[in-house]
Amino acid sequence: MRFIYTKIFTKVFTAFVIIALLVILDALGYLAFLKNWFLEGYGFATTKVSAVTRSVKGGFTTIFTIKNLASDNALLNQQVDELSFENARLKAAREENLTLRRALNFKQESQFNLLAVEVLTLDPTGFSQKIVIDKGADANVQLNQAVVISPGLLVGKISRVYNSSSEVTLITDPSSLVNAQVVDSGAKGLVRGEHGLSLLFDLITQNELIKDGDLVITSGLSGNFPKGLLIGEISALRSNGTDLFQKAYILPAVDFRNLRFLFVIQ
Amino acid sequence: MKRYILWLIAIFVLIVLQSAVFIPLNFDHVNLLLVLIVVSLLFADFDFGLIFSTICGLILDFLSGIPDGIFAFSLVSIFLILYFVVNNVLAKEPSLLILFASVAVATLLFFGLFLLYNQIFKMFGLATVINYKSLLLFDLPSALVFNLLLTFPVLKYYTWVENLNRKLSKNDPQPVSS
Repeated sequence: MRFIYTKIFTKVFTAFVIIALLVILDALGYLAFLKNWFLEGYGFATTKVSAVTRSVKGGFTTIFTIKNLASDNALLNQQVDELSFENARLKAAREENLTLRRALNFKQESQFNLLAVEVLTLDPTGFSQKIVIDKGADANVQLNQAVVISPGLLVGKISRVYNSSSEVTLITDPSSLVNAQVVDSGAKGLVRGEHGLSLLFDLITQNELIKDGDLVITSGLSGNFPKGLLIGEISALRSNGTDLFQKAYILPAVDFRNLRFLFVIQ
Repeated sequence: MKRYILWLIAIFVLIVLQSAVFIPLNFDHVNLLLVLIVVSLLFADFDFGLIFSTICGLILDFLSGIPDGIFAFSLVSIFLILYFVVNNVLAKEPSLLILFASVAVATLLFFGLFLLYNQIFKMFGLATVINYKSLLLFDLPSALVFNLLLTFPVLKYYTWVENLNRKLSKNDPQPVSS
């Protein structure tokens, strides 16, 4: 008997047809309601269980790090002193900046309108760098809005919106592109995701000066992300004189594996 | 029918465990549903395995940010390939060695088929962007190690759910024979 007349072939063919139908229905947007409902249930269960995991993990981490607490505390106190001084200096600079802006009749910088959201799920497969948050079209979440973690660390942008949840593509996803600049030198380039490992800072012209430890922020060019959101710091340079552009690896400022509360910039 | 409902709940529990316990503990790229499919192809019949792999694939598609269908097609293909290899090439004798070898092969196949179906979906503009270097050099070895590490616990989970299913079936009222 030919294989296509067998019962096994019929069953396999039926399974493939069902999957293909679901793919088409999803592409046309007919599965959005079902997905939204499923993600809500799944997100609820995951949030509860991961809270327990985090507390257990935190407990063990505390036990292992308890011997370093005294030295860490001294170091952090020193950092608090340094940052307080830096903060005071920056406040003065901000006031001066505002005064000069007013004097020169510059446009006032707009304040961000932040919507607090909670992470429902991380991609369990690890094949994509995407997460699902608990607010959607009902809360006026829109495509391409920037998502940050307090107070201004860039996480990603909204890539799909459902009724009461949304999908966020993290900046570590290979499809993510962010216009960025180095804080100190102002060198501009494009930050691309490297699949969760790090970020690649590309297309920096050879005459720009960049070095390890430089902070990288969004440049606001192309309008995808607001200006001034922190992306991370340069961890390694990768370029030689013959290349047209300089490249550098960026260590993200955010721990993308432990995201919980985020903000959507509206 | 009762068996499928029980297994739907069991799959849901397993995927919640994967997301909420193993991934926060840095078990990156572990795929418990893939391991469960391999266990089912050794212990269950063809029909159950086929439905099982289709459902697992669709759940992964729903939860990942990847276009729907890529994981479902990959998992069903893995089930079919391994089912015919285990039944026609090897004698279907469930042993731990065959189980662990099947999990290792399934993990390699999963990555290969994922890339293949992603290329096919690309023709329809539905593919996801892949960083091949990190996928093959970092994700694949990590998935292989963690899947093998968790094979035995998943086997125990499978037998526990099947035993539970048998117990529930025994408690059902039996039809009265005339």
